[in-house]
Amino acid sequence: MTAHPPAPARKRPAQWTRAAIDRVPTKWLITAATGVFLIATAAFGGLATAATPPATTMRVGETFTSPQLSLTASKLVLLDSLDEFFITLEPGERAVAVLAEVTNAWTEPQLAAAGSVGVRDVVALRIGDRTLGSDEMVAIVRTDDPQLSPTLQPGVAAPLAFIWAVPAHALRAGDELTAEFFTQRLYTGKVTVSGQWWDDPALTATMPLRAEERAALSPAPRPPDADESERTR
Amino acid sequence: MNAASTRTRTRTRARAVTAAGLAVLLLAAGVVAATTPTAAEWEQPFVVHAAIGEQAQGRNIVATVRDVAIAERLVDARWRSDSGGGSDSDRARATASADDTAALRAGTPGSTWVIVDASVAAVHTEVGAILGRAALIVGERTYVASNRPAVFTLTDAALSIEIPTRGTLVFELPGDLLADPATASTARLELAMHADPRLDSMLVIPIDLTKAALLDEVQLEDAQWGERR
Repeated sequence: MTAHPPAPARKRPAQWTRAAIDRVPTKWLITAATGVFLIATAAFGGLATAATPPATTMRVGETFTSPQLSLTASKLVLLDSLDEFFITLEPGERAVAVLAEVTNAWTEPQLAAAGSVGVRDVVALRIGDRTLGSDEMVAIVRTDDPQLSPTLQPGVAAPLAFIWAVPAHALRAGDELTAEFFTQRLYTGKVTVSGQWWDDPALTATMPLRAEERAALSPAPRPPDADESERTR
Repeated sequence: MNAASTRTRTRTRARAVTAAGLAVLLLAAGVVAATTPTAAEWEQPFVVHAAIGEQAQGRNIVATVRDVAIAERLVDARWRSDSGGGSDSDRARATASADDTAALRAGTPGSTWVIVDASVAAVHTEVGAILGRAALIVGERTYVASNRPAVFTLTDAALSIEIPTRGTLVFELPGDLLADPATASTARLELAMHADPRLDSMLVIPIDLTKAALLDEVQLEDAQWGERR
């Protein structure tokens, strides 16, 4: 059945190459491929953890920008009461809040809430060797309205406070803490998940902030019809 | 010799047929892959188009957009868009603890409000009948109806069968909204019963924001059950 035509006296280059490859033992090929892979890996630093770019240090008033949002932190305040947001602090606890003007840089609205991934993962607060992150966050509020868990519309700035609870004796006015700002990536759901969300926070910038005392985040609600005369219609 | 050459010719032909068959299969696979609808396409909402002033009816939602206006400020009994519910700037300055955040407290300078006057009703069931999605799409950006005002807007209202609830939807947009007339003139309003509008009716109303009335300040009122005449 395997009647080959008689081999010509001089092999063509292709046939010669093929014959040569056929004579290389498979083990050699596997060893060579493994060697090439290991050398290539070593060239990129081997199995060592890739170095993360160092976080930049920002000053108060500077704006942190990311594809998700831009954020200008202004204050770090200590509070005894969050009554205007209907939040009750445990006995022996105080609230510490980072005040910032935040602008949604994405094309979709973003919910800023302590119970919803996304905006809450952008800010953390370092107190000594402990970091208060999104898991410990009590609330995100809008300080002007005032409003709990506001929605950030695209391109519209909003004055927010990111709030954590701390033991009452842990902090006092004048203490310097470090706010941490994170850049996140936009993920798009496939096959079993739909929609888009921001995740995978990477520390990008830090900002030293000095704590100060504050009675409340927002002044008392304005009485109805306070300035009827100002209305034009 | 003759038999051998026939065998060679047969083998060559068989190989050609196999190659052609493989090429056809690859081509067919490519066409199927390229023309298969994506999840976004097969899950898309059932869109009902209507103009301003026209009634649009979907599975369990019927709505009419009456008018669209643009305002610099919104006011209701307990809230103002430019200084929130807190106080005006004088009172903020008088509050010793608040003066240092005067810049933040000045509200959101530069934002513009789009006010949509509409009436919405359910069609066949009132169970869970609320306006779950009210979105204004301008260019690539999607704005959802604001929940900042203290009044009851249409997004808070429970809908009744065949009895329209009339009220406002307000959208907070950046101040440079009308800077790009090409984008502003091709905005659209999307209304649906669920926040996730997929696989259900969605009413789409094109809105030309460049033709909307420009107002300084608008006083908001609660949404009302039944049509105002």
